[in-house]
Amino acid sequence: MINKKTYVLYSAFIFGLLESFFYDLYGYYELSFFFIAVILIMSFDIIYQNSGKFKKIRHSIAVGRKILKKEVKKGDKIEIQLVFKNNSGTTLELKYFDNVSDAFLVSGPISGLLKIRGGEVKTITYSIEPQIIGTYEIGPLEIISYDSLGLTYNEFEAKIIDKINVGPSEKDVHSQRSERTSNILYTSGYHFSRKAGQGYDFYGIRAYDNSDDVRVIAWGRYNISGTDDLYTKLWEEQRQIDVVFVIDYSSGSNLGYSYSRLFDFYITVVLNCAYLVLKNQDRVGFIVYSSETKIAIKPSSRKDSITDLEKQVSRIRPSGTFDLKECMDFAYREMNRKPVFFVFQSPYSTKMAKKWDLINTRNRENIFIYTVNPGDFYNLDNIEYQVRLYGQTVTNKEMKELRANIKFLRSFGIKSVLSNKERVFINAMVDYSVARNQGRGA
Amino acid sequence: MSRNFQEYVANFLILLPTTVSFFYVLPQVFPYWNSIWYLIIALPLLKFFMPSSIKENYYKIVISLIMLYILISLALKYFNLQNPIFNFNVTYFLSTETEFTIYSSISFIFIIEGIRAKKTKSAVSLNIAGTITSVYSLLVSTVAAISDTTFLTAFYYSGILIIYNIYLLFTQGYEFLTLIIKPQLTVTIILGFTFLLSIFGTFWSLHMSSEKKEKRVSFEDLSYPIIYGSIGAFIFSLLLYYLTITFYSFLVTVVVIMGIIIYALRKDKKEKYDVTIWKEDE
Repeated sequence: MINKKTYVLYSAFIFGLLESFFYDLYGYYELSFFFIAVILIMSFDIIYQNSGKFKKIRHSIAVGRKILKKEVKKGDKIEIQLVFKNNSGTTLELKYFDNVSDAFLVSGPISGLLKIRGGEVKTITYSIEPQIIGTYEIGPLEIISYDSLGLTYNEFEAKIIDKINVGPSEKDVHSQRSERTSNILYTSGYHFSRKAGQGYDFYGIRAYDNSDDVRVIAWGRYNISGTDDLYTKLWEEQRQIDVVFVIDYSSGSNLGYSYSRLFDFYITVVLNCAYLVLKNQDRVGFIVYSSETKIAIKPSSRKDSITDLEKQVSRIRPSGTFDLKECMDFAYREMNRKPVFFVFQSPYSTKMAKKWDLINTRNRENIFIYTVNPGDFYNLDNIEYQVRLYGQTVTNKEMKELRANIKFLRSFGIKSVLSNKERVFINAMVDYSVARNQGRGA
Repeated sequence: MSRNFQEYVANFLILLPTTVSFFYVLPQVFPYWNSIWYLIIALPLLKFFMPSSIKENYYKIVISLIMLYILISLALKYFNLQNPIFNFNVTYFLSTETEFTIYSSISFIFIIEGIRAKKTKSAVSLNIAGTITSVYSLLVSTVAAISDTTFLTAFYYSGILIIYNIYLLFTQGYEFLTLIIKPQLTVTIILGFTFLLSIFGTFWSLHMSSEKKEKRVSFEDLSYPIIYGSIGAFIFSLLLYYLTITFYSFLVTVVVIMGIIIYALRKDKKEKYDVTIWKEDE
């Protein structure tokens, strides 16, 4: 590809050549020689680059990429080796550039200039550190060959594409769980139920009935009122509830910048919640939903469902649209019992809620919807004052719409919350404790 | 050497033909300059002290002001009006002396701007623009010496000669002026040498501006184009030497040079091409 400056230089030198004819008229014959020489050198340089050097690189250079680990967790370091082999007999100079998603923190020479002698094999090693969950492609590897004057260049592409699946990091999950909230929720314990039956926790006493087992008579209460009355002990019945976390995986969840993305944040919050729910002896399931992605993981009282979610989300990226009604229909179809749904929705999907035919929705009281303030995912650093001011106006309008949508959902008896990034986890856990107290989803 | 300093040196080399010829004729033209030359010399220097918003359109503003001045002066002159505000003849600068001063001193602006240029193409363009007036001034000095007249008289006389010469070249096929004028040998040598350095400066600047130092492609690959280009230019110039006073020289140059440029441009590869993928067992 010829650079724009080459055309400008050609024009300037052609004009100079024309001018030199006038110098000829003045008697300075020699000057034409210089302009002709410059034009010829420039032209030969372009011709050599596009024929000789081009052919050498295209037919003699072989490139490869080695990645040892392709299934990784967020924050893991992956070493990548690029191998260049020069099969020609001459030294070749080229620039390389490996296409890596911005979801990775790159350290080392991802691009650079290489001088490879004839028959030599050169290896370049650089490392990447995934910062967001999902599946990402590395490649193709691009090679660019420039001429010495920067007048023209040739582009080559090695179609080596490697897929890397990035799962959630344990570090993120533990860091959130160690917060104050987890202490309140976990250590205080919520193992109680309003249903009486054969449990382990003492619930109360009632008057003895002839059908009662004599083993459950509360002898401590015998003759308490001096009338020889017998009382029977009652225990709480331990009943597990099913909690299903629904994650909006539409394009709207891709909200954010560089290493701070909404879908990644939601997954971290959901995993933290899921671990706490699991510790509380309840079953936890997941739904990852968009028009393109439909994943349902049935509630389980073991860690299987969480591991499954981690695997599943490492292979997908947010895409498509999110419709709350369609999603809930899918959720009810896939889940056998009637669980409690905690829906984590993108702020850009809330408009779809208006279309929802809420009359037909079953178990509205078992649905909790969370929407995060989109402003938390905007990058307002290093932005000019005027742009920021405009941005704030847009954000205010956006928030007004969001609040209206949330109010709309609430009018149908669905608990819907618009909260800041920091409050999402706490809100969800508080709602969980409420749902557990009320025995919803049991 | 820092990159900035190297850039200044390369730009200076590019502009050497203009600079040398400008200062060579300066002692001869200076006595004919009127006071407008203060402004011409001050223009590129004043640009340093201008706020960045004006700097971007500095010369556009200057040209607009000059045009405005010309219009006002013409209006005043035409309607024979007196300037009511100042006791100063506004139309003073509307003269042939001013025209001559601007024409012969404008190269100074090109030199200063060219040295400070950040792009090679700007420096090259300014050099070519600068040589139009400065090399012409060299001719005028020769004509003045031959005809034993003042520089100013020779300036107008050779202007007419050049126009006549171009007319003859295209209509009759020969040059009249070259038959009567022989330039001084020292001037020819100096000019030739400066043009040679200008080419060197152009390539150096192009190489430097292509990338940062650590990512720059070495000069090795340029050796073949330089050798073939120089040989080609030498043969071609020899050919032109024999065709010099005919119109054919012009025609042959156009055909050959345009042919080579078109061939080079047609060789351009715009797509991305595949390279061989290396496998571990190889």
